[in-house]
Amino acid sequence: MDAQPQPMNNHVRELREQRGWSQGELAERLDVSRQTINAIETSKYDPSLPLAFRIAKLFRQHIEEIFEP
Amino acid sequence: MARMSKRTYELQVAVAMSLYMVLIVLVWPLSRQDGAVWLKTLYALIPVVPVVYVIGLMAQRIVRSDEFEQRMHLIGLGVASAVVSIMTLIAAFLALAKLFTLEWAAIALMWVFPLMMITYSAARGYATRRYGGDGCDEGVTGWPAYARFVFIGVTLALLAAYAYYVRRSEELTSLVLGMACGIVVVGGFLWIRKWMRSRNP
Repeated sequence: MDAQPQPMNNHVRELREQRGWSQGELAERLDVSRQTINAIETSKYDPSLPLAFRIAKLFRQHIEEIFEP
Repeated sequence: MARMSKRTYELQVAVAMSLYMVLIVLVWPLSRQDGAVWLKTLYALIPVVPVVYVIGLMAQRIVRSDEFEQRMHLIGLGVASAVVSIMTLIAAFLALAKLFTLEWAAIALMWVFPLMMITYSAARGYATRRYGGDGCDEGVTGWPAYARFVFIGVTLALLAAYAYYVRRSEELTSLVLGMACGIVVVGGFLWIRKWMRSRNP
């Protein structure tokens, strides 16, 4: 049985802080909970593809520039 | 679909569960008095109404949650289903072996929903914390979680006292007092956890 894959690393926190947003503000812009943002930023949770695309569109970057294995 | 406000959800659940407890203590005992079968059935089943409403609220909340929250709900419900299934199986075998009476088996059945809610909340809180979130936050009133639990537990204990001294019902008293004790214990655990975290930030 394969081991469970590790969540990916990402630059969401850096991008958020560059814009001076709190986790709550970013959560509101993405219509998710603050806990979701925290889980993504701490690399404990990988967003779904639609959410990853929404994050990339919000930060005006490619997905691969934000999330990396 | 817009996410459901936590404040709205918690207020509605609080009102519904308060109504549930009041109906259990004040209306349900009427089902044991002499009267028409349809009326006794109505009195017996009326506490189910607020419970069905709360389940509907939960379903709405889950459907309107984001993907991460839905995963936490799934974990919570999965654990709760497993725990409650095992506990009811144990109760069923004990009742069939006549190790406790049918009346106590019926009381045990009434604990299925509260046990489900407690286990679901605990499992969801634990899973949320594992993923970096807050397992139990301040909620609607701004009170710490432990204070809310202790307040509810003390209120239920007063209701149990009413059931014992005014209604003279041992089954109701044991049910409500059991809930009160369980809730106060959870409140105590949350207070200890908060205290330990304040010592080790």
